[in-house]
Amino acid sequence: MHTLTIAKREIKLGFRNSWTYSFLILLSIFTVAILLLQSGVNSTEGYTDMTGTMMNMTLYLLPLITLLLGSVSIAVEKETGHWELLSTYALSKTSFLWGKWLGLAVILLTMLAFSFGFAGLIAFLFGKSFPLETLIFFWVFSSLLALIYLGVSIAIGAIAKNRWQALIGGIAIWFITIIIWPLLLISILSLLPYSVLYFILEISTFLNPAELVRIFSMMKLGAGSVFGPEYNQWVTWVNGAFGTPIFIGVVSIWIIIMILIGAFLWERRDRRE
Amino acid sequence: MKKFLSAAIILLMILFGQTVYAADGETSLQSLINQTKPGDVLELPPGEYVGGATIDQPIHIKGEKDVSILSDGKGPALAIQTDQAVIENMTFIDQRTPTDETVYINGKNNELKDLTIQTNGVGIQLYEAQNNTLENINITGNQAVTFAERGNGIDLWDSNNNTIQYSNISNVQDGIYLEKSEENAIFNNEVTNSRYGYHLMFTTGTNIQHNYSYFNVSGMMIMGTEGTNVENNHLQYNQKSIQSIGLLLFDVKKAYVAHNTITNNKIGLFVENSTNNEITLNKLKDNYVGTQFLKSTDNNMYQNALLANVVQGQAERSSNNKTNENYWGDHTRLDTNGDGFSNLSYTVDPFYLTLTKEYPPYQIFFQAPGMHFLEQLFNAPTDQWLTDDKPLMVNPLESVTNEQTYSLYVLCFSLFLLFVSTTIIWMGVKKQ
Repeated sequence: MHTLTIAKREIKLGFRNSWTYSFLILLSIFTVAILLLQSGVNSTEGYTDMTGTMMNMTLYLLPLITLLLGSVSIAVEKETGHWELLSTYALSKTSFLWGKWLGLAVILLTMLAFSFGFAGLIAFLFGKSFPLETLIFFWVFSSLLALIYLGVSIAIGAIAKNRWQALIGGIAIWFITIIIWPLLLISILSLLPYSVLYFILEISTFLNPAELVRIFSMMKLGAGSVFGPEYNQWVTWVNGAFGTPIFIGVVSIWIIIMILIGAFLWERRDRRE
Repeated sequence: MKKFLSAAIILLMILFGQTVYAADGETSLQSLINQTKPGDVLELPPGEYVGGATIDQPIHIKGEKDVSILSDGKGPALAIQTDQAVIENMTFIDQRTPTDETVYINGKNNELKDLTIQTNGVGIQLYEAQNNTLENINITGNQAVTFAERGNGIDLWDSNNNTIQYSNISNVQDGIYLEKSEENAIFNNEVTNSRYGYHLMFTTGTNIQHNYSYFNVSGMMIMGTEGTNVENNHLQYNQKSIQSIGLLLFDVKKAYVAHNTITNNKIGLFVENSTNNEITLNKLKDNYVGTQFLKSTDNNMYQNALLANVVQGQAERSSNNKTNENYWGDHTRLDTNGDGFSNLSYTVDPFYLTLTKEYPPYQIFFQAPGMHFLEQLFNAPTDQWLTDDKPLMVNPLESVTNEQTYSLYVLCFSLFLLFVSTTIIWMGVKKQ
């Protein structure tokens, strides 16, 4: 119940905040750009290099926006004393964080729906064509990415003391999971024996939400073979009957664990102080 | 009685007609052939026949239905030592060793059609045989043994001007193997689950078109040939080994390679020690390495489409090859003067290839956002970079698809998204 109240409050505050609309404009321009680029490519063939480029552009921007939006939103509640006020009610940190996640998820998904709808309309007006599947694919891909990174951002916000820490935390996670991920793994794994290489890469892919969503999407588009025979098993289960349910399960577990970790660390810090 | 009857029938046939009918049961094929005169038709009723037969005069042998010729364990199930014989509609079963030939041809203008061959050895051997036609032949080898212990499907040695078409070959060593042969035509065949689909050694003027090669170690191996014509073939999913190649040109001169679909192989097109070849309008997609040049010069590769290969290409110790005017799927192109060519050149950085060759599991980083960042950090020597100074703006192999239907769906879905999102925003702002 508390969770829903918090979520409603978050939605109301969110849509009254001018920041939301700046992000909305940024996302819309960005989506128009990627859809117009994609429209030149005949994508009846599933995964193309252009799809890869589009996915990468989305991976550069969307997690960053989500991380900043989520973590700063919670840090601000702490800084301004809103949380102090709210905590006088019988409201647990977990339900507060869930409320925040739910509210922000509605805002983010609405922003994405608007920007994709707007981009689709613009592309239509300009006479650019692409299959409906392309629009739906990128919309679902972005939405999934936003939901999972929102979970991470809530955890960052819960741990951060103020908005500066939230900002630094968000950028750090973005930089690690998006920009230097291959470099990081390759340099660490060069110290380890070859036999554990595949095993660690496999585990670490589940530990990076961006890689998880990216690889799942590529396999769903039928491009699983590009990862080589080492990952044939993955391709089999992703495209099997349980592929999508298992993936949704993994994404849900990610979000739940992130919020629980956030609440736990926040609680522990409060007790120490 | 039975023998007497059949002898009487044969006698009648010889007296009154052209067609010889064989008796039921397991019969010696040779005795029936011996009874057939040149130019006559030997019709075989359903049943099993003992092979080891030789045809030495131009006759026509036709199986009615369910006719099986079994090897006698000594020589080929059927040897054709004549010209202008026709063999059709029967099954050969041969369980001897890989070097044994099930059907052996040493003659001219023979015609083999609608045959099924189950063999542990070579399906059909053409030895110094000219102008023969092989059509609709189904050859199955022994799946249980290694490639080295199997024979080739159809094997040509010093044989010219033959045509092999509409045949289906699986589980053999090499599907169709040509050595020291000239001007042969290979059309519309399919080879699967074998070592090499099509294997040319020291041939000239081979014409190889509309063939399929799936799930083999390598699709098509062309070696030491001159003037080979390779068109409209489909070489796909050949990745049984780490060195699996879709199409190999090794020591090849003056080949014309066009309109082939080479997808999902380890290496799509490998050009080694080859000169003066023309490679155009091929589609190279989803291979681990799209195209690779090694010690090759003066080849012209243009108007090909290279799409979503893990590594698009590589050139090593190869000079004077023209690799311009191709379409590269991952290229960021810009045409400032509207001539259809990008003014930004395209290069393939070999960094990713070097990395994943040594550590295959790193292929999981294929087109990962962080890989671009990593590539910037390392600089490989540029002499190994494959370059295209004039990349195409549009894919030469793609036709424009139906745009209008797409657009309407997209419009409806976009309006739906816009409606839902603005409603949520409006309600979110307004509601108390």
